[in-house]
Amino acid sequence: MDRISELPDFTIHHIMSYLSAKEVAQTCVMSHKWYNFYVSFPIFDFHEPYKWFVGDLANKNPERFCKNETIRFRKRLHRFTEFVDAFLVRFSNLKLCMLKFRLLIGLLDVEASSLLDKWIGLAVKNEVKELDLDVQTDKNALYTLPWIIFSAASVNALKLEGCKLEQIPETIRFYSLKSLILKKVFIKEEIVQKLTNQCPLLEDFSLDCFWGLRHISIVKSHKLKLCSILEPVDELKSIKVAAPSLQQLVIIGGVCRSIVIDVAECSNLKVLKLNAINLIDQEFHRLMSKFSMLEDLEVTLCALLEKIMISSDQLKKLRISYCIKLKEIEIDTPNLLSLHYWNHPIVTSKVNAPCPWTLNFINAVDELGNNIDSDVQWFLNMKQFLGASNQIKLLFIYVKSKRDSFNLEEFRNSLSSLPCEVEKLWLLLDAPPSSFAALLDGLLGIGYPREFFVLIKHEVHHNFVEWLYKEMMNRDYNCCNSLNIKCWRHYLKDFKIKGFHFLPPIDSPSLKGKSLDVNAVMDLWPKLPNGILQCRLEWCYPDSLE
Amino acid sequence: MASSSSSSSTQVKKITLKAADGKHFEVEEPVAMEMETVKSFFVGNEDAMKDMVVPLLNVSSEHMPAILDFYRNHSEFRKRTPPPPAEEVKAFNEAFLENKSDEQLMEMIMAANFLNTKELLNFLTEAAANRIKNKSVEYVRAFFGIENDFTPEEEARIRAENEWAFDGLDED
Repeated sequence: MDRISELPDFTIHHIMSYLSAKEVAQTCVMSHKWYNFYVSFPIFDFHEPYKWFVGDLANKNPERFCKNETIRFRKRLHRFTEFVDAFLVRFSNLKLCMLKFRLLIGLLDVEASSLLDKWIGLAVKNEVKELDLDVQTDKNALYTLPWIIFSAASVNALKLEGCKLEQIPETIRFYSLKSLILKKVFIKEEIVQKLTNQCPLLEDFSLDCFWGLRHISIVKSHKLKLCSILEPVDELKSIKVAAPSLQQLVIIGGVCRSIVIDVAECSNLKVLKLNAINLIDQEFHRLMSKFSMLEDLEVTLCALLEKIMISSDQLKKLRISYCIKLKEIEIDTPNLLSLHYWNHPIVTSKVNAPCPWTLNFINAVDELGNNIDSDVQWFLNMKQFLGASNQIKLLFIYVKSKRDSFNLEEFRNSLSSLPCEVEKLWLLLDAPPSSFAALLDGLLGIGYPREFFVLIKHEVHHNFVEWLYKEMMNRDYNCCNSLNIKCWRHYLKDFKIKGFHFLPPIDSPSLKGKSLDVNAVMDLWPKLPNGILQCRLEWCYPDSLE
Repeated sequence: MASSSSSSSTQVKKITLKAADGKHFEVEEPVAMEMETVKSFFVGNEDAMKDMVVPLLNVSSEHMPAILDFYRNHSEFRKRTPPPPAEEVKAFNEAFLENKSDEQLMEMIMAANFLNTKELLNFLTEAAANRIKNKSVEYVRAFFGIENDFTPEEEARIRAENEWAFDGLDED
């Protein structure tokens, strides 16, 4: 009957590995045989928020506990730590290898950090392979790691959060360590150096939200492939990485910071992500000149950059976002597979990137953050920018105009080419009804969308959508007689409403992520709620002007 | 000699497997070799390959077609470039489990264990785990057909030792 218990431990443990810590714990009373499976289960995964371990009190804020609840809470927490303790002691008596020890716990909830020290000791003694310790605490009460952790010769993945690494022993025995992730830690410069060059197999090193470092130096790390330095809390001055094997480097400065980056010896780098760093043009270009193998580049929130010049046959993916001072880009990347340009200003550009483009333009603010109105030059610049593309996958435009300042006449007289095709156009239009016509004509003079998404957030957007529908359905036009380039009305074959999507943050949670089909939209028309109206358009533009 | 070298290379070699209840299954060689148990049967015994029947003592013929189907599809998924979309694999796996009773799932786990194929075993054990998630101890016992061989005293002692495990289930 009970044939399942004849299966090898490994298979039973495999089933157990898909269960939560609590479900695993409950298997202890199934039968004698299963008790043994349970005791020898080599995975200790207590990583749910520790509050979860206290049953029906989990959803309540401890600060709001009444006295009885506080007692109950403490009692349960005590049971939990007792349980973990007994579990580890029992396992370590079996002298088996521990595959994983993962624990999330509030430091104040363990009566003394000595209990944590003991658990780490037991894990190390049992040759733990994966150790993930997340200590919930604040900056002033970080957990000081016991030295024994540095003799964990079998550990291959180590993740520490909420810890202090101030002093470490002379010798580190992380002989198997491949991945080291430190988050919310206090750490000293010498220790970063020591850790990265005394772990012979280290491939992945990440520092995320850390104190105590002004300079980071990672040298002689021969196998390092991935390196992430994210959101330093204190002022970080410099980062030096010299690892010829490095493939990916991610640096997030947090608050925009001037960080000197020296990565001269990482010539095999394939992926580089720079975020919130005050690089000036020369520094950026000096950096780029080191990486001839780069395939993926992301530059975000680098607020001092004014000019970006990239020339590469290797680059496959390029993302430039929120570099708000940017005035000029020159990109020559014949083998690029995707270009993402998510930015406020429209820049002078020279772009050779025959691949799908994803773009976002906002006219509403200038590079100094001032509100500005859209004008003819803005539209012409955008048209020129898009003109260099051969495939626009997504174009997001936010047009703001308070004073009817866009002169359609002037724009049309300056046009010399047909609009380009846009797969998806997203539009947020903040303008008085008197300027709807001019702005729409301007936009559709730049690009004609296959799919048109109109955002509706305020009253004026409702007016626009209602007006837009009438305008699109009206096939009686008699215009553009004297013009070389006729307006969009002459090329529109069909216009259809496809549906409606509710915006993600909406008042009624039950509607979240929901959509309406065209019939439901027309039933409500024109009284639509806030959301996104999706339309489909068919066009008959010729390939070029005759 | 001459005749053996002229045997057609376009024809895929077949291996005959015999299920526990005596039923025979003719299986293409690469599919049969997905099973470590079958593979090891032929190690150092290559001559026998053609006409030997491989007995699979612990696998009932009821499950053979489904198991072979799993091997065929998953080896095809592995070989394909570019790899198949996750939804396709998921759809196959879901269809595979559909209409399988708990009893049948258990039997297939035993079969996969005997056939020693990691991929199938991992897949089935995960499926079993999903069926016992968030279920009571009694349910899980019944699911696996496990007999509780603890005396009430023993069970009470173990429950007390692992108090936290049952916290929130039995109220304080």
